Order: sequence, then C-alpha cells, then structure tokens
Amino acid sequence: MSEMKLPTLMVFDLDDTLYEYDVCDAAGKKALFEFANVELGVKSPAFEQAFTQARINVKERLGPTASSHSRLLYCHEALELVGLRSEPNVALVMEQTYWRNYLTSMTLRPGALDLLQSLRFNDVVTAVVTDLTAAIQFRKLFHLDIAKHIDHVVCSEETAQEKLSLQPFQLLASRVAPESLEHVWFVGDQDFDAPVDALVAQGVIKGGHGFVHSAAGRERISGWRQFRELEDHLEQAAKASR
Amino acid sequence: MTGAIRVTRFVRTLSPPTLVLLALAVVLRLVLAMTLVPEIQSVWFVPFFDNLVNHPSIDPWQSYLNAGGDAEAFPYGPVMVVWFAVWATLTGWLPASWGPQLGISLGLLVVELVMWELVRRWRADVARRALLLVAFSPIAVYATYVHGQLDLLPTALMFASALMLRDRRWTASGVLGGLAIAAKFSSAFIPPLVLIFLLRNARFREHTRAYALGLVPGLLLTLAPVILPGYREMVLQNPTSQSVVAYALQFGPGLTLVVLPAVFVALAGLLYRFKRGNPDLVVLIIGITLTAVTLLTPASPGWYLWSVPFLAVLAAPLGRQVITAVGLFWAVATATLALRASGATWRSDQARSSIGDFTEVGNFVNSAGTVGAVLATGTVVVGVLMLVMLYRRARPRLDMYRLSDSPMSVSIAGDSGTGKDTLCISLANVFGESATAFLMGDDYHLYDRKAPLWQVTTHLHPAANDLPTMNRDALSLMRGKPVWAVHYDHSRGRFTKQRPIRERELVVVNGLHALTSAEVRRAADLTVFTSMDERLRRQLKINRDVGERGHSLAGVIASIERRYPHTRRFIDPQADLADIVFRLEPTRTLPTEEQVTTRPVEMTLVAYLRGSSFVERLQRALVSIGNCEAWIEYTESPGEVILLSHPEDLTPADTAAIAAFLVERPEELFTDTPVWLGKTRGVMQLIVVLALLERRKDRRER
Repeated sequence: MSEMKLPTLMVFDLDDTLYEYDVCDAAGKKALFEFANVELGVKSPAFEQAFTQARINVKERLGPTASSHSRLLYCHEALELVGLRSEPNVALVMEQTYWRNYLTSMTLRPGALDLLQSLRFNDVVTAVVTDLTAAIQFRKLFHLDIAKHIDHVVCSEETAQEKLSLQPFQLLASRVAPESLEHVWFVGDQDFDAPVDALVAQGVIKGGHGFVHSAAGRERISGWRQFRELEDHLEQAAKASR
Repeated sequence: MTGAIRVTRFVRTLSPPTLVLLALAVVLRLVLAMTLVPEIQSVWFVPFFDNLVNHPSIDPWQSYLNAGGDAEAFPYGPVMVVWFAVWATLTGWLPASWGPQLGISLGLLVVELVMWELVRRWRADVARRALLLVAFSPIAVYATYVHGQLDLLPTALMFASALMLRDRRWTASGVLGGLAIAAKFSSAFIPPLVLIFLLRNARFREHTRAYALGLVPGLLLTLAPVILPGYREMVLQNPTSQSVVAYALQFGPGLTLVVLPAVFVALAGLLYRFKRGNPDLVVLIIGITLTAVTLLTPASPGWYLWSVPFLAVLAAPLGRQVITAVGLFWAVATATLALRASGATWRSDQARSSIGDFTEVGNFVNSAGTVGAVLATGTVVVGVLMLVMLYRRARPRLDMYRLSDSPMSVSIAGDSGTGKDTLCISLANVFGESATAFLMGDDYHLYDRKAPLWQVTTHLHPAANDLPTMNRDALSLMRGKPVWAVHYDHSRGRFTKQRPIRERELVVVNGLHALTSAEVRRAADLTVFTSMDERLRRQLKINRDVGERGHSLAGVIASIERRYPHTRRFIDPQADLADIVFRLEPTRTLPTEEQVTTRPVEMTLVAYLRGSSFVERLQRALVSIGNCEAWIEYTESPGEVILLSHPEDLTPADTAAIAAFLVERPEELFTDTPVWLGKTRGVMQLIVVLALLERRKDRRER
C-alpha cells in the first residue's frame, strides 16, 4: 500500500464495524424467540421461520431503505404470519425485547476507542454513516459511549435510500466544512461502506481511502480486521504530514 | 454425541494459539503415557487390576490379598476401582508390557481432559490463563504421568463439586463431593467446610439438606464395602492415612500439637466467621486447605494434585505475581518430590528392569541430602507465601462488597405517604425477604393510636418517639447483632409483644426520623430521603383514605394540614442529610380541585444524588437498554447531580437487564432471582442498589 495522507475526515460504519454484530443479533433473537415461546405459545422453530420470512417480506416490499431493517416491522409481520393478526403492543414489546438483549451484548471492538481518540488528537473530523432508523442507532451510539468522539452522524432514515445509493454520504458532505472533504477515510465491513471512487467521480469528495474486510486488490481500498491496523496507518500518515 | 458437542464448544471458545498450546500439552502427556511406565503402577496398580480383570470379585481387595498381593497396593474406594477397571479391561488385550497399565494412563488422561473443561467453565474471562496453568502445571504432569498417581479422579470430582457449589446446584455438589470421598477418603476434607458455610449463612441455610442428601450416595458407596474384609484391610487400615498426624509440635511432656488438624480447624474457623459469605469464598478456603494438606504432611505426590485446579482458577484472575507464585510453588514442589519419590522406567526397558524394594515416597533427607532439605524447606516457604498472597488478593475480589464483615445498610426517612414503605418492599424484592432485616420507625412511637396525646401532637414530633432506642437498635443491626423490638400493629393501633429482628445481609431502617442520628447516618452505607410533590401526595392520600377507606374528604384534608408544621420542622430538614433524595412528581399538572380520582397518575422521578459516580452509566443504560427518558442536571453544589427520568414504559425486564448490565458480581448479593420492578419503582431500585454497592466498594477500598 502506498504511503497515505492524514485524513481530513474519517467515516465509520456502525454495525459490525465499531462492534461485533453477530453476537448481539444472536442475543436479541434468542430473547425474542423465548418471548414468543413463553408469552405467545409459539415454539421456537415455527417462530424462527416466521421471523425469517417476515424479514424477507419487509425487505422485498421496502427495498433499500432504513425501515427495511426495522425489527418492529419484522415482529409485526411475524405476528401476522403466525396468525395472530396485528398486535401493536406485543410488537412493540417484542421489538424492545430484541434491542434490550442486543444492546446488553454490545461492546466496542478492541482498539476502537484508541483510534477515535487518536483521530481527535490529530484534528481529524469523525462521522458515522449507517443504514438503519435513527432512534436505535442513536441508542447504540449512546450505549457505546462514543457520541463525544463522533462529530457527525447520518442514518439512512434521513435519506430516501441507503448507503449503496450514496445519498447518506452526500448528506454527510453537505453537513461538514468543504475542507473536510479533501481526503476522506472510510471504515466498514462491506464494500458499500467505502465508495471512494464513486464519491470522487461525483465530486463529493476530492480523494480518500477505504478500509473494508475484503479489499480484493483495489487501489483505494485496503483490508482490515483490527482497529490497531488502522491506528498504525493513522500514525504513519501523521508522521509523514509533520 | 454430547461429548462431541462439548469438545466442539471447548475448541470454539478458545483462540488458535491457546488451542495449539493445549494440543502440545496433550501430546506431551500422550508421549509420556506411551514411553514411561511409572514404578508405582507396575508394582502396585497393574497387579491389582490384572488380578481384578482375571479374577472378578465383589471384594477385589481381598481377592488381591489372597493372591499374595501387597496390602498397600490399592488404598482407594469403589469409584476408583470401577473407573480404572474399565480402562484396564479395555486395554487388557494388549501385550503385557502395555496392557492394563496403558489403560490406567489413558483413564487418567480422560479425567484430566474433563477437568480442563471444568476449569474452562469456571470463568469465561480468565479461562485461557486458568487452562494454561493446569495444562502446564509441572506437578500435574509429574505426579500423574511420571510418578503415576491416580489422584486426578478424586481431584476432578472435588473440583466438579466445587463448580456445582459455585453455581448453587446444591444436590449435584453433594453427589460429586460424596463420589470424591468414595474415590478417596482424603476428599472428606471438603464437605465439613461446605456444611459450616451452609449452616452459618442464613440465606443459604435452607440448602443444607439438599447438599447433605447429595452426599448420601457417595457415603453409602464408601461405607457399604466396610463389610468386605479386603476393603477394611487395604483401604481403611492403609498407613498413609497416618500422614495427616505425622507432623506435630512437641511443647513438653503431655502437650503435642498436631499441625494439620490444628490448621484445618483454623481454616474452618475462618469460614465460620464469614456470616454472610458466598460460595466463592468457600472455594477459596477449600483451595487453601487442600494446599495446606500438602505443606503440613509428608504428602505423596498425588496429594499435590488436589489443589491444582483450585489454585489455577483462583490465581488466574489475580495477575502475574500470583500466577508466578503458584507456578513457582508447583516447580519447587515437583523438584522436591522428584528427588524423594519413586519415578518411572522406559516402557522399552520394562521387561529387562526389575524393581527391588519399592518405596513410594522415600526419606528425601537421606536420599537427596542438603539439596533435598533446601528444596523441601523452599516448598513450604514458597507455598505459605503463595497462599498468603492468594488469600489477600482473592478475598477482596470474591467478597467485593465485604458482606462477610458487616451487613449492608440503608436508612430511609421521609414523611408518611411519600413511598418509604414502597421503597423498602422494592429493596426486599431485590435482595430477598429472607435476606432483609427491617427496623420500622413506627415500632418506636411512644403511644398507641388511642392515646389522648395525639390530640395535641403528631407522630412527626421527635418527642412522640423513642428515638434513642430506635437508633441504638439500628446500630446493633448494622453491626450484625439481632435486636428485640415491639411491633406497631397498624390494623389494631396497638403494640405487640417484643419480637426478635434477626440480622440479615441487608438492614433497612425505615422511619419518619431515620436520619436524625449522626451516628446512624455514619454507620449506614446509604441514607435516603423520600418526598413527593405535595399536590400528588395529597391526591394519593385522598384516593386511599376517602376512596378506599371511606373517610370524609374534609376530615382527611384537615388531618393532612394539621401535620404540616411538624413536617416542615422535623421531617423535611433530613433531606439535606441524605445521600439520595427521591422526589416523585406528576408528569402532568393535577387538577386543583381535590377529589377522589381513579385516573392513573403518570410520574416523573427526580433523584438528587450526592457523591455518586454511577449516575452517567445508569442514565446511559436507562436510555439505551431501557428505552426510557432520562437526563442529568448538574447543580451548583459540588458532587450533586439530579437524575430525572420518566420511566412510564420501563418494564421489569428492562430494569432486570439494566441491573444485569451494571451490577458487578450479583452472585455475591442475590441468592434467588431478584425481583426487579418497572416504572418509577424500578428506577428507584436501580439507584438505591447501585449507590449502596458503590459505597460498600468505596468503604472497602478506603
């Protein structure tokens, strides 16, 4: 990888980037299926299937929007699928059951806080751009106690479409000072978390670099697994800029 | 199938480097099992199992003696016989130089792997360190695969019993403890310690029966074979049992202090002192006891195995110094034992070599000279230092809130109708009624309801209460001493006879004047004052006295207003003395007209907190986990903050999740599942519990 410039803005994805998603999702689902079993009398395999189907149905209907990830809608749809019709209160309780257990399993990935502090020390503007509804993403940020390290948050609920459409990044660009768009680093788990080339082509940013889990040999994209690696890149870039 | 799932789980929870190290440890054991034949096994155990396999008998010990076997060869109970007989039979078809002996070694390896799994399950966060400690314990490798002792089986059973004890599975703990005794008598050190703990601790006492019943199968297995003559001669009359009284101090004619029993009684006494202890403390004392046995007796190498898993799980979370001390102890002990105890022969040389007069553990001073003496002294010195270090570091972690020193205590004051009793019940919900002692201020009123004095004064006046006695009783309870007090029966308006109030894990002093005594405030871990928006308090009182009890509205209002001067003069000033002031306010303004209403009142909880550092964490958890409105206001008084919350949608499950997230070592505090509540009561529970625990920890650290 060629020598990197110190970023002017660092854009993080939230889910499965700043914390590990699978553990939390598993804890949330476990509690949800237990609730369905105990409170609704719907045994786990049946409800699990209904929930999976509900997720597919909601995603198909809504397409790439923030609401397509809504656990409230999944629960609401699953209740319909198991023949309980609409039960708004039960759906709300189920949604809270899922998120409560999800959040209590959630911890920052090792090294994330150190990286955020290094960014602050190096005067790099920080942002989180994430695909989901704002309320739960704000709860997650508050729970992780990193709100003070993040300058800007954009949730896809604020835009018509999700990150793949670039709209949330465009919204972020409209909120930051123009000089912050000189050299932007993106960190995420999937390719669409770091659309460097597309944003440069659209003139949204001037340049930058992306870090995703599978880099696949692209010039402006590198692979990463641990935040320590990103902090090393940052330190090198900071040294080079002095 | 279950075994395969367990192995998969074991492998999945560990990192690749740890798995590689553990695999190396297993390979080392396999190599030793394949290449070495411990002398003790070829001289004692193999002939015993050879005889058992070839001449099955209900009294394998007598059968062996009849065949001319050595009476010291197998001093173990039926559990050991069965387990190793199975393995000896499985490999009995192999050539003689391998045969039953390899089976015994494999049986030991399987037991050791099971023990590793138990060690992994002890504490997930330090599983790696604990596992590596047991896997690379030199004494475990030497005593089992070189010297050839079988003590891993009773060790694994003792450790499994301790794990069950830690997990509050009383009967299972008893069953495994009993089986450990049926494997080897020396495991009998443990049940008395557990029984002392259970009988001494009020909140665990009810489980004594379950534990004792659990012991029965093992004890029957131990005692039933007494009718067999071979068992009596080989197991009960084995000379190694004399080792426990071998070291004694002679003070003069007729005064000899046998060291091990004296130390055992001292450790049991230490456990007896822990009136509000927890199972982790018992495990700590068990670990120390089992190690002390090896230091205070001419112990066989096998005896050193007993403490290995206990020391590993106790030392693992305590940092490098303690881990190094444990490792050093094992290393010195191994070197000492290797000099004086019997060893092993190469399997390839087994046919050629003959073992003459076999001695399991020799006199090291004679055989090892000065080096042996220095090493033996080093073992004792390092062992004692290691145990002191372990105890001093582990005790504060395993008794984080120092419950074993004194009960936790909360003193709650406030005007009547402001939620004092509700708060008390909420606390009993959390800690358990059987673990909570209540001292009620109403029991210290000087006059009962029919006394004419109430026409000119109120209960709010200090002179209408026996406050000196109340404060003295409060201090006694807080110091862990029971008191006797009359009880004010609200239904009859009369006092009952005196009744005992026994000390418990939590002491709650609840009264109009509970914070008036400076000594009580100092002694209490936490002081709380409850208050309520006056319009709300009047409304709730009207709803109760007029709506439910049928009193006249005018009479109730007059009664409320008659109390105001005394409330302002004697009750309200206590708010300035409390660590926490709760104030309940209606979310919406109540109508000015006073009448009974059945409409539920939504409430906001305002909590004034002094010197508490958990508030930000609680607010974060309320908002994120509980999805509840909560915010903090910082006042001009240093260290005082106001936590405002509107927990109308907070459910008991939300409160429980927040508590599980924020409360450290709940196992020390709660015997049963705590009952957490929703809405304002849930937030009040969280605030009081977190403040109480924070102060207990702070007091410990000071």
